[in-house]
Amino acid sequence: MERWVIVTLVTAGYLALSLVIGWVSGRKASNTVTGYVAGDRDFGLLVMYFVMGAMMFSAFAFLGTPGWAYSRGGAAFYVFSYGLLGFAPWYFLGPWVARVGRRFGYVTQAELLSDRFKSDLLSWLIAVVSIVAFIPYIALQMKGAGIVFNAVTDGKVPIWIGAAAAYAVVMLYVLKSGVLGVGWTNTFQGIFMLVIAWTLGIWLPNQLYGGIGPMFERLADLRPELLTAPGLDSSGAPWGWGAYSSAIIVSAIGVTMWPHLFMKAFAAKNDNTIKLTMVFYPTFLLFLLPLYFIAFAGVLFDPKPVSADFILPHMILNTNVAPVVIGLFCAGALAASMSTGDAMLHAAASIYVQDFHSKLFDRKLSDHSRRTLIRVVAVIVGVVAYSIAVTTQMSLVSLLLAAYGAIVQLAPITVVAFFWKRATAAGAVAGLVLGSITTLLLYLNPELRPFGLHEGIVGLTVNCSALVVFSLLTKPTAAEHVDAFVETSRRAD
Amino acid sequence: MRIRLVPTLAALYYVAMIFFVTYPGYVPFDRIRPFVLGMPFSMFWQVMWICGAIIVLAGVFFWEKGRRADTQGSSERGSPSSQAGGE
Repeated sequence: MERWVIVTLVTAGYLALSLVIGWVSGRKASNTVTGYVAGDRDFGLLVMYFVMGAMMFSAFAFLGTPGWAYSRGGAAFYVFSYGLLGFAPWYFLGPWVARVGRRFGYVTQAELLSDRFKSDLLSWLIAVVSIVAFIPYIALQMKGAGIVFNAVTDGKVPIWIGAAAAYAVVMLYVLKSGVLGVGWTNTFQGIFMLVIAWTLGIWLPNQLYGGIGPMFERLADLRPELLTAPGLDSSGAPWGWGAYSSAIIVSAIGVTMWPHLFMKAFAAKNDNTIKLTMVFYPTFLLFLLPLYFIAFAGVLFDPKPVSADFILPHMILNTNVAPVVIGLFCAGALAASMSTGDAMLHAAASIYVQDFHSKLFDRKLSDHSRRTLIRVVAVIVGVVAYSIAVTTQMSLVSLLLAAYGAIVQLAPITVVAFFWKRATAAGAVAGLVLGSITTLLLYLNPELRPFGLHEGIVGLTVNCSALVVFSLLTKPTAAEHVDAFVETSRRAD
Repeated sequence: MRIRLVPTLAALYYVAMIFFVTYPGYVPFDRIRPFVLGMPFSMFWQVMWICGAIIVLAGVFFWEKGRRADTQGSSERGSPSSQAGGE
């Protein structure tokens, strides 16, 4: 049998198994919005750990970060730091979010914030920002899946078919099972990609250099500039410490604020589930190690890949790996893409219905209609993202970075929601809007950045100042309401 | 509000980490040799902070668990401040 046929069969087998797991897992959920969006707030430790971990390990982690390690060396180490710093606050924030969610019935981040500040405007703003950030992100995941499938089948499976196959499966289990489908498939996909990554990450350097140590010894002799931070920039010149350090801080804040992270906190069974998830979460970061090993193994390897992002599939395809293993690798990469894409697809649709549609057009929407609407929107979002993925070549990343910049700006509001009772809706909206505009402006006009600081940091400074000034200038939010919110968040169950 | 030792230490771990994985705290440790577990020291340094975080967070978790067991055992109801504790 030809290599690409075996690879395709193995991958198809993985997709079938994902579908079965995703389909079956939804049977337990209740027929409510809480059941569909927050899994009836009943996620245990195992599922929670893999949901959080696999959700963050996207197609970008599987292809992009090894690409960084390969072409920019130590620059890629920043991912370890921001991953760790970004999740640490969730040890405390997670239980608070979950408690107010249980008490007041929130299933999304915007519901939490707009209810705390009693502002529908805030809800719409957050919904728009989140969805604008999600769609290019989902498109990138789809494209990633298609590209890997295409590469490992020697170009026999076109990108559009690969992406369609993977995301048809995702769509089916998201529609059928909601967040439970996302949870259990992420568990399966997470275990799958961990096993594949570690096996290949240890085997490949052994095969090529006789071990990880000997590999780095040779790199230390031949390419020492790749083995220390801050490594190189994208043009191959030494990268600056300022850029390296501020990238860590801004990315960490951004990770903390992802709306789908909030939504999964609402799904946790109890405080201990979230806390233990956060205790174990850093182990997921170590999963980058084997991927980096493979990438570093590629540095002294010939032939070279067409682009740095292809380093992983390139190494797998050119080192006499058995076709079945190539298939498993492809499935692992698809798992990374799908376990992120499914959570985002589900989150985007839920956010649209809960935070935008039902607040703007129809407040009296029944629970049943909401669930139907979420499914309809999920299909629309999927189709839009897919069309973007297969048609556009370009600045997806720019759109993504712009929206991501706005997501970072949710951080001050979220912190004051739990800490500063005097913060008001006007302050929150002003902070969010001015902070986002500043970020966008500096992103588009880098020459205006003071001291070359990251645009997100400048945006946050403007954001915090506006938040304080506008809050103090406006009437306080009803004390009873704010007290109930803050006290609920602190009360352990 | 009383300052609680264990969560404060945990927070300090992360503050120290911010210093030691960025400029300038990372610089003295951002070196190729000695190799540890086959990795350059700069890479091992990152792995070390990750493993440290697991230990620190596990420490906070068990400390809280112990405290909760204490307050439930010794008095019927803890004071409001101790109920709110641990965060």
